[in-house]
Amino acid sequence: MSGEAQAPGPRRWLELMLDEASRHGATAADAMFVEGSSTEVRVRLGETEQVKQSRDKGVGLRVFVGDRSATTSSSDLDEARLRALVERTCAAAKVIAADPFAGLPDEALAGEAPGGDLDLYDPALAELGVEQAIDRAREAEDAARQSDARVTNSEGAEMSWGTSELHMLDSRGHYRNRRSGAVSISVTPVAEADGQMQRDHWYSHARHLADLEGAREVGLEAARRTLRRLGARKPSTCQVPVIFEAPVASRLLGSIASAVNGASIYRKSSWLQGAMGTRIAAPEVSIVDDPRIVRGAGSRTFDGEGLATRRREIVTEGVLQSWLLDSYTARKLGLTTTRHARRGLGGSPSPGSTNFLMANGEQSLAELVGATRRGLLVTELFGFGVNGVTGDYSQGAAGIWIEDGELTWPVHELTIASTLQAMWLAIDGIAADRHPGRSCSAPSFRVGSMTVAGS
Amino acid sequence: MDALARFGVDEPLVAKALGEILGHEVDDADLYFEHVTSEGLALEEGQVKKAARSVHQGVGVRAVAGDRTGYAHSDAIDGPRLVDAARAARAISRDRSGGQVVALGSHAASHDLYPVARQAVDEGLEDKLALLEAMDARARAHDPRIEQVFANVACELRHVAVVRADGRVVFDERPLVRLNISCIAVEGQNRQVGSAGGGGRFDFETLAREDEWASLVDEAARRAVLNLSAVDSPAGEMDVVLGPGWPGILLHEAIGHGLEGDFNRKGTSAFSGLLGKQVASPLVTVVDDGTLPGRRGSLNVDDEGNPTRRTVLIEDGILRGYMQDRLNARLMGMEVTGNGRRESYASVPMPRMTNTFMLAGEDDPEDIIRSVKRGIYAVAFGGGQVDITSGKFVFSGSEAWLIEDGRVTVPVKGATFIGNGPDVLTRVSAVGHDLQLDRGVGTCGKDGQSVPVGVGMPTIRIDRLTVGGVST
Repeated sequence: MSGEAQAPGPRRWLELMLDEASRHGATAADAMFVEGSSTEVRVRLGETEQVKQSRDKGVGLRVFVGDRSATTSSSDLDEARLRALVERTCAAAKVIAADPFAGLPDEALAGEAPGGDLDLYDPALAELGVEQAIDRAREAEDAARQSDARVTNSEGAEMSWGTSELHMLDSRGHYRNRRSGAVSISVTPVAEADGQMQRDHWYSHARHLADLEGAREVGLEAARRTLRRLGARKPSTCQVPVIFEAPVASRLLGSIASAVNGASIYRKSSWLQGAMGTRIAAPEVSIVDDPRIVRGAGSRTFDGEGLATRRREIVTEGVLQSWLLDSYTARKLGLTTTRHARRGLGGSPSPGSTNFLMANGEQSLAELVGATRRGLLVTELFGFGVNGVTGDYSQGAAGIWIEDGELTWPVHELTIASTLQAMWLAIDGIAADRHPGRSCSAPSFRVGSMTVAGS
Repeated sequence: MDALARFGVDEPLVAKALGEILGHEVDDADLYFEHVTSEGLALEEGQVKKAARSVHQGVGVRAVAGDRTGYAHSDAIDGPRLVDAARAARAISRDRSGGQVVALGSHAASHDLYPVARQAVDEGLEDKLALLEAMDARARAHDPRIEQVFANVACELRHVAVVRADGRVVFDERPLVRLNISCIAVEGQNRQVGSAGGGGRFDFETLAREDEWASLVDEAARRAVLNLSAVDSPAGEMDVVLGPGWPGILLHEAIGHGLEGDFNRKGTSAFSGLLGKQVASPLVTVVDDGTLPGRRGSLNVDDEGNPTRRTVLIEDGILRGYMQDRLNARLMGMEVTGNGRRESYASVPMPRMTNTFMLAGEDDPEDIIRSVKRGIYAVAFGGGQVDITSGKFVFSGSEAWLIEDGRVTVPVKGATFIGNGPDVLTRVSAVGHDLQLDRGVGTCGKDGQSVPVGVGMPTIRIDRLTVGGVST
């Protein structure tokens, strides 16, 4: 949050909805108003391909009639139609099942001021012009295309930026607001050699324009990642150590974020069911969720229920310490909310991670590769082969083969398989290369053994 | 033209906004108005504890000059916003000074594929609650090991109006309903999940037909229990038999995306330049057909106002055609095929699939299984993904079996299949006579936009596909 967002326009809509809900029998309610604008430009082969400008505004409402609740959202801010929608929502709440765990967050927590300034809003983003952005995107794509003759084509370079304002008000009078922004640049080059075509991409994302990586650096990294895939072949089926490069290690970290989500836990549908307080990963693995990083991609001073956020240890030296909870899931599990509610306009709050970070190790990725006699460095994962209930894991992958501690030839058309339980416990090397600008971020790490399926 | 009133605009205002764009040097332009009502109810722990309803509306304004697209959208639809959006969109082109006056004319959509008397979003909640509760009860009665049941019903009604550069205005009213169920079966420490879903562009009564929902429940519950006894999947290349229906996701991933016009115009698809060439076994014919009544992937008109149709993609193994929107068809000098789709008014149209399926062959499905010495028989899948440029695709099985000496023996878990789009269909060695379309659950993602789609396939045999399991 940075400064006060402009009231009272949004507040008027919030009050109108809460009043209307109360008139139709709601005993409690909370409402939100979101307004934002964003721009996206795309350059391909040096020419402007697309310019897109967005303006969005919408309201969301959750009503409680005793311990029954229903939600609604609308982008149609016609007063009469909105009142009718609120009435319909109250009627819906009356017919669905009572749920003793439903309700606004505990008053003692709700009264606590979020405090702090995480510097999530950059006024420079409102000033950024389309032409400037096109120039940056072009510079990024040019850098990729000119870096090597084998970069023969491109899916383009994109720059997008936007700002938004959020206002929340509940029927007890707690009001919260924030303004935030984000900007990103990405490049997707296509390279060709010996009849094989490959693409990859790279991007940078930041809250402040000044923190965005240079366009040229992003383009060069995208080209490097694309070029190293050329000449890929299919490996033989075998069992070897697998190193996950930081970007794909972060996806694996995401599987922990989902598994510790309180909604999966009370539904008994997580592979970490019953694992609280036990070893779920190698002792070198520590994970925190930290919503209070200044200018952090996933930062926020208050959560989706308006509660002041807190840093939380999730895994410490391999031992599971905490679920991610909102008020509802906490009550279901007989615990206290960790203030991790997320809420979109359209539905009820549900827990979610903010900046979900795995601690760095002490070596470089090169050292990790050097210490691997024969194995696989995974640089891309794709598909939907992760079973969140059982932990069974079988994903499509591409990467680089390791022989005698050296990166040799690229490989693709392969899968890697194991179970999430076994993989996290089998981590036997962690690099110190976590990307600082991402909201779910892990350093590169090695898993002792997995099944690689190829020919 | 009175139908424009639904979107809060009238004919003179729309004509003025269009004129703002056409006063510039553009090759194409359109205004896309949308009003969506959606409703979702979810059951867990035996009760429906959540109900959500939303109304979303907005307009997207597009100007196209050469291969440049200007797009502006707003969820507030009033005179000043609409004209602002038109001016923002046309910024990619040069002024040719002097406004253009366009006369608007209403045109009927080319098909009437989903006539519905009472829309599901207008039905009361009571019947929907009762349906979810009946599903829960049936799933729990299926087997005492079913411990958790999650079911939801989702209904949507989308009104669209496409105003095209030639003044043609096309309206469409699109219902979309869907039921989903997941069951978790537990035996000791072993927890397994089974899911099923179905739906389409029809009314709630059709969705709530007992034979329909009961078979979905039985499928999900049976699958959860079955997975309790599933063994680890083998890893490596082997012969694979895909069952009919939803396994058609293979076509969607392995070849469908690669045959979308945009990737081929840009030369970034593994299929670029292969038109007229052999890309599949002569047994294989694949079509994309947006005109199947009531299907999830069907449309009366696409999101650019073009009539949908049946397009032959592969005929007897030869690559015959791409799926096109207006921009890519124009730049490639090809026909528009009614595949210009967008997620919402906030999205730029792209070539997308509708219902993509392989036509039936002549083999008996039983014979196809009997022909395999050792391999995998896969009948249900989670999801899939493709890298358009390298052609590599992957899809993950949610129900698969081992085939040993021509017989289906034990269930396997966690099987993922990976292959190369341009050659996987060349290794199709048998095509069954049992073509089925999926039950209406597919959602396709591309460039951040999701749209509903359908797939279908008869039983087929693929020689040597890489199976990604754990046991070597």
